[in-house]
Amino acid sequence: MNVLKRSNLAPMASRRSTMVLYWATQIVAWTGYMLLLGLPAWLEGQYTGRFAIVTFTMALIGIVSSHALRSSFKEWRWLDMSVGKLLLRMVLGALILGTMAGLLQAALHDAAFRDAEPLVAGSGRRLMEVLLSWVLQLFVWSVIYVAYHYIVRSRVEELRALRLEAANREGQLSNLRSQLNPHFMFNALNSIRALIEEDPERAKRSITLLSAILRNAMSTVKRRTVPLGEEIDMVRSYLSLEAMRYEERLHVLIEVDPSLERSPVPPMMLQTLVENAVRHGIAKRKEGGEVSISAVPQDDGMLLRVRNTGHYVRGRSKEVGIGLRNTQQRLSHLYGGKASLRIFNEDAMVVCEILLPLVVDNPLTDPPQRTKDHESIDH
Amino acid sequence: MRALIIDDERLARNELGRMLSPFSSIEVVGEAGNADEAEKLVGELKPDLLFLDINMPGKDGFELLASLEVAPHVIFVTAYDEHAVQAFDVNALDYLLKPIDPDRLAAAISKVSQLPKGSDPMRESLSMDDRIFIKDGENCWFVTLKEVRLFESEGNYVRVRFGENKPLVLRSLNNLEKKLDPHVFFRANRKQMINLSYVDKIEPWFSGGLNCTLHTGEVVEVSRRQALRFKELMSL
Repeated sequence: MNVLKRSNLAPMASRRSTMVLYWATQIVAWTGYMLLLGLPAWLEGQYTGRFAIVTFTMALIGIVSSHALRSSFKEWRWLDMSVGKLLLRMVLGALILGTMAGLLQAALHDAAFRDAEPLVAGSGRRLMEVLLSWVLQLFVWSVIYVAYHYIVRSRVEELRALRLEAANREGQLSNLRSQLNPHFMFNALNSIRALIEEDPERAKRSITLLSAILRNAMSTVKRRTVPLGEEIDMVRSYLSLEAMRYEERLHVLIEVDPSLERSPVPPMMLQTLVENAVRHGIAKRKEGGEVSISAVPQDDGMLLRVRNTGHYVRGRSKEVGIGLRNTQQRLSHLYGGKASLRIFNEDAMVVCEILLPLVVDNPLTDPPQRTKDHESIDH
Repeated sequence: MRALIIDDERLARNELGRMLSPFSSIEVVGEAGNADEAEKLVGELKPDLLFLDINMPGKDGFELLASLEVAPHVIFVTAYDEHAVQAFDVNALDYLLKPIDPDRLAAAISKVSQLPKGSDPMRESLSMDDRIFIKDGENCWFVTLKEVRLFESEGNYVRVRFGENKPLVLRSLNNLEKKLDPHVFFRANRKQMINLSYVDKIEPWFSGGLNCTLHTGEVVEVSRRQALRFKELMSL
């Protein structure tokens, strides 16, 4: 997670320009700061000759000590820590590095100005002042450092949140699109157009069926589970419409144990499997075939089976592979490891079998952002 | 124009038939429910125009076209098939989406009516205005024979060179040669057949052979045996 964050903060392309910016800021800021500090003394005429060299030495001490501070920030990932921990480290870092910087300045001062009152060996008060001023300066430096990174980071986060939202919306759209199955929709509409002339009564019934499917597809986006009976009704509507298209090529058999009518199942799951069965078992075969659906109680749950004429070869159709994986993911999301899906060949039929527990693992564990998304789609 | 409706759904065929009845220029001569039936009917009825559903059980619409010797004019009819439509060179394609919009149907028919008519179905060889349908992987083309400058044999396949394209088709060069007009397509050697209207320069080559340079710069060697026939052909 951290690796991801860091690479987002400093992508390869801008790492170099970040370094340039960092060093330029360090040099300009420290030099400018030291110039300002030394200005009153210079105006009063003190160390006229050595003003420049003193200022640059001070700036250099500032640059080196604050760079050490930055290295600590980076090495131990202080920025990723909680505010309390971060503050503690900022204080400690400023104390330690400030003391070292102060001692360095004092030593250099004593070496350069032999005639002046020595700092290291002199009265502790002057030395204390120097050390404290460095501790303070480095603490202020790290406050600025942290503030800068918080701003950058919050911008990156904002951008990421926006992207995530866009991706979520895209996902919902494609979800809805796939639930509507355009190929089926337009073919059904085309058949209905033909029926209006040939068999107006059937045309009317077909429109009712089609609207039931549309309504269902739109409302199930919001629901976690639906009673099996409802899902079976939807599947029946769907198959009646497909029967209008495939006529004698489609044979349907549905057997549902009455005790399971009210048992919860994930919406559209059975429907998706049946659509696949029609697409691969009927649509691609000139002579058509059979689709059979059954639901029986088993152990503490139910066994759903969708069978279609044909032969399943793993990996032959990418589309089926993705569909099955999606269904598997949905199952494990809803039921933990308690549900299972398998697909196999049996007596010239492809069998897709789902074992569902009767209770949803934890009905309230839906990720919060999903619920929110679903609300926003209603508005 | 004599048209054939090809769709796996009876209702869809009926509806299209009804929609076509007001068009006096279109005579529906037959209907097919799958590609095999369609292939048979195309051979028997020699229609000028196909209304062709892309998604069908068994062979799909593209595979049907690729299996035909000559492609009649085609108006594709599909419910929803972005990929198939995108795979197409848009110029060559006319397609209608189900349910069919009567205005778009009228537009498609008037467009097709303006195209040059294919060859006389009674004739044995193909005319230069005949079109062949080529499918190579995801890409499809309708090619008029006069656009093709070179056929090259590659194993069981023939590479067809026209414009910038060079797709492979599963046909034999010998079979093609029999069907094509020998005054236009000339078998230069065992592996290549050239469209003579694309020849730019002819030079004598080793041991009685010839070297033909096409307008596009491609060089084709004419074998000694064929060079004799070539001279005969040219002197006519």
